[in-house]
Amino acid sequence: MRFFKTIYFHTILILLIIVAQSFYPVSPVTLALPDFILITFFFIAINWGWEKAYILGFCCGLFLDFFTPATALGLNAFLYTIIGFAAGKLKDKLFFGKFIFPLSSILVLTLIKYAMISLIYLIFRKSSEIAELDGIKFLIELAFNIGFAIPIYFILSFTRVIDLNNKDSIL
Amino acid sequence: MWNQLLEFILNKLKILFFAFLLFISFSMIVFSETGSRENMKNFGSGASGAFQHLFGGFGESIVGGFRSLKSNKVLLEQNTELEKLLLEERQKTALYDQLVLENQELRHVINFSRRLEYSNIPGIIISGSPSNTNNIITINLGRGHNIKKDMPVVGYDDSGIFLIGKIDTVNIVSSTVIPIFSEKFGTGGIVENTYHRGLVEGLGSFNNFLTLKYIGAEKNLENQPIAIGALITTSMDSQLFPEGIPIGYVEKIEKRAWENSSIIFLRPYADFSKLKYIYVLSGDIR
Repeated sequence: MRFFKTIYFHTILILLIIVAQSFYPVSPVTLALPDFILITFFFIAINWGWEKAYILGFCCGLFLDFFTPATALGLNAFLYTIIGFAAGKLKDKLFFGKFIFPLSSILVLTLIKYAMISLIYLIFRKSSEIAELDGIKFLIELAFNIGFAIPIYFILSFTRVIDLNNKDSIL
Repeated sequence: MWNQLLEFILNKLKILFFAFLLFISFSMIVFSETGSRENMKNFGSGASGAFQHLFGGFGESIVGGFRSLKSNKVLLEQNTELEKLLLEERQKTALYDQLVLENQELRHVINFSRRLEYSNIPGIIISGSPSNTNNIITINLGRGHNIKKDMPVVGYDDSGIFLIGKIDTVNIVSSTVIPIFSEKFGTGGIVENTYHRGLVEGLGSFNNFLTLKYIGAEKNLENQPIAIGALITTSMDSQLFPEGIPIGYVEKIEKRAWENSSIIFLRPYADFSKLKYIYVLSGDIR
């Protein structure tokens, strides 16, 4: 019962972020946005473990696909399922402190995300509309994500959405 | 036992479910990309095509990598051979440049040789310097070039001809020259403007000076003094050298009470420290 309650709570949370991000003012120059959902989902996934995280990732990705019709249907579901699984596997294995951990993990996460998008783009390169690969956009998004990583991490910790059982920081 | 088995199956089911979700999401991508919403038949070909594309591209990359390694090896060998050829060509070019320089120098020498009014044999000094104790210069001309003892040896530059010495010993391919500053050297000399005549002799290698002796009575010098810097040339008294070849300049004049005539010290016309090419005068020099 508690499991479903937790799933319910977090799904609602992420859906709210998805909706919020949909209304986020779009930059006319670069179309680059911070990926709040990715950051939030990653921290939740690493707190949950892989058994729950990939299911949540699939659900959230699917919702995201419906909310962002520009991308191919299933792309976000695919990405978030894998990210949920991989991040969940890291549960209780990373203790990098309150600053280095969010920054480094989000940096790596964004790189992995774009690597996976590039791989899918490579597979479907005959139809190039699946993902808009733009180096400048990627760099701006990377900067945004790193910039928002710590605030989101602290908000989630403060609201006790996540409890990473942080040991004393070693960095 | 049963609990363990159940736990194992449940764990495997989680993994299988994860794989199933991945398959579902990937299928959705294939659907949306191949337009299979209109034509379901495209799904299979789209998915298999995507995998074929992925693994085919991967295979092509590996095969291409091996091909590149092989072609790299061939290119490396070719590069080594080309480097060897380049080195040989550079050596040849260096040799060619050296030959060109030698050719230019020899043309220069031959040009001077042709400008000399006497028949001559051009040659090169191969050893000896003005400071050596033997006062001997060795040249690259010998019996094979019809060189004979006591032949005059001169130098030539843009200012004209000047005396260097005379042939001493003659070998097959080389000869020795007694330079004018040697103590063994002697010839008749004349002061160019005053026509005082005397005997020119060397003083050895340590001072490089020559002397002009026996120039006549003291009163001759008083009536017609010899100026410092006056040019001394070979005179008609010389049996070996043509008349009028510059020997040196008057450096200083010493009057000695116990001698009838003054001694005039001469500085050689030729700069022996820079001398490289010589000309041996042959034939009738008178």
